[in-house]
Amino acid sequence: MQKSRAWIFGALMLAMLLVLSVSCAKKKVTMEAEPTQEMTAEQMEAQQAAQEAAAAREAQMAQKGEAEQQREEAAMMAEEARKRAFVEENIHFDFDKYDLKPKAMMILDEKAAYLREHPEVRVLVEGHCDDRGTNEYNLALGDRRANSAKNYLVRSGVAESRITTISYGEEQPLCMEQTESCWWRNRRDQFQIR
Amino acid sequence: MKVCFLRNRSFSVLCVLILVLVVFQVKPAGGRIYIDVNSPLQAKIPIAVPAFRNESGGVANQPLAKNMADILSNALSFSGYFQILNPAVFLQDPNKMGVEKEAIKFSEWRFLGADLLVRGSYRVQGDRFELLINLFDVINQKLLLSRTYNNPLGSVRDIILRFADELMLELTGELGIFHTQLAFVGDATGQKEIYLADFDGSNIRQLTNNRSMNLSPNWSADGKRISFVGYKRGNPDIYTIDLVSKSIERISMRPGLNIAPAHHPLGGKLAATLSFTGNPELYLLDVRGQILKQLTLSWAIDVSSSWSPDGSKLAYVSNRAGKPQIYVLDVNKETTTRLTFEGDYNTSPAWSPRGDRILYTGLHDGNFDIFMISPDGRDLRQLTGGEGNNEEPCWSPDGRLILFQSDRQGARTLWVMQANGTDQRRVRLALGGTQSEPDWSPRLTKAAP
Repeated sequence: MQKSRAWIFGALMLAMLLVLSVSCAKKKVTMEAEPTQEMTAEQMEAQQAAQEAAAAREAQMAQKGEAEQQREEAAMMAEEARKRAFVEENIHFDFDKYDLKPKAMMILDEKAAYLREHPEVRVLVEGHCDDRGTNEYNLALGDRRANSAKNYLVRSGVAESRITTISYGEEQPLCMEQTESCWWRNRRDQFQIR
Repeated sequence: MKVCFLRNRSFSVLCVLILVLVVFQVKPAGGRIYIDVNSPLQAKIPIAVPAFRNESGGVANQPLAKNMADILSNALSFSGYFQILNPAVFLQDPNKMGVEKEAIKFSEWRFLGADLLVRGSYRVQGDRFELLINLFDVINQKLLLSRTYNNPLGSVRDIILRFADELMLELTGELGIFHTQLAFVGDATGQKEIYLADFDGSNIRQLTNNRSMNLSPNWSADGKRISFVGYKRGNPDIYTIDLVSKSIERISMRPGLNIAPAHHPLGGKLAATLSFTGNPELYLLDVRGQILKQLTLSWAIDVSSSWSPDGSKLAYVSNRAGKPQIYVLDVNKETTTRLTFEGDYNTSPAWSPRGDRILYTGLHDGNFDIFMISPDGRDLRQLTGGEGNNEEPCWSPDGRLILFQSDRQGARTLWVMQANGTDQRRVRLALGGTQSEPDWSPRLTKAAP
């Protein structure tokens, strides 16, 4: 979890640096002079100047293309990273609880921001439980956990129609060990982009 | 302990005396009180089931002699009422022993400790068999039940179990459970599917095959349908399968949960938990899934209901007090009372067929175990303990046995025990993976008169 967040931060910084450098490199390009059949020295000089300007512009264009490409790639990577974080970062619950812990709310804040910036994205919230307790009660518990996240996202400005929920109860564990750390991993909401 | 009971002849004699008094003097309605089904603590009755007598001649039909006796012995043993005497101690060759009362040496059977004796003889003719089975009261030297059958050879098991049902009717006043089935969730294929098996775990059939997730099977009161929860269409919806036509209908597919179907004991409707309002609440649905009535309204989870046998009350799980506990709703009076107060996590109630007990799963000392309580909140008893997690109890239709899931041997498998918690044994299921969420059918066919 910590690792992926650090990676996103790095990618974002890189993207910002590239955007800055490209905007600095942008310069106004002078108009190209019309060539003539018979040229005076002055014209020759002008033509040479024009050619030089063209070459410079070409170089500049090439430089700008490369930067733009890099900028786009970085933006895309950052975007991918955010999307991946959105999907991969689960929120967790205490045993037999469906109230949101402070850490879960921080993660949901990021998800809400993502959803606000991407109005086309629809999300499926999956509620899960650890394997202790009764399957049916855990289905209900998973439903409440999914709705806890949904309601938080709605309160954070995401249209309710964009969010659907499903409970899998204890039926889709991420791990099978009978340890508190494994149970904790399994007591979660997962987020899918639809 | 059991052995002590068996060897305690004075106890048996006392029982018999009481029986004689009751049967011959008092003559209550029904008249048959050999076994008091209301008393799960009653000692097991020693019964001898020697191999049946082959009267067809020829060795080809001889294996049937033992097969028939084995089918009957296994069924009677499974019922929990009987101690089956070991055939190795029998004094005569069963194939030479007579079947009629005059031929029975009752003193020998008494000497071996038998209170009851079953003698059968058969004759195979073509693809049919003729069968005579007699049940004797060894102590009173009396014929209690005599039945003859003439059926196709393919129906041997069914016929023997039919006799076993009638034997129970004779001794208890109530049919046996030998024509019942178990529905449960199994994941042998890698996906959770609904399975059926006979009462003893034999004759396994896979009921669903949709490679999604199928949960919570629940029998209709007439035993003709099973409702279950399926994720086939990507949401937990309630489906009902008609066991005759095999057709499957999706009856509740509202947004959110459609789970925990519980058929009404008088038929025609079922309780279920739906969460389309945003909170899991109990509803009463008709068999097509239309809402007849909303049963609960709280901010909390309400789930896993079980009907009282008369259909007037519903035991269910609610966490309205912060933790899951069992509550009882009077459906007509619309009153709710909390039933359980011990422990922080009590779920999956199961109301007994007689109405006098409710089973549930409770978290106790870090493990889940099965508890039993009266509907008035008294007589709390722990039935399992110290052996893994034991959950999801349900009753046999005669209220004598409890079926549940246990992980005491690793994976979750199905187990059965007497209603007092004794005799815990694994149900023999020739199936890999895990088995869970069992539900015991009502009696599916009536024994021939």
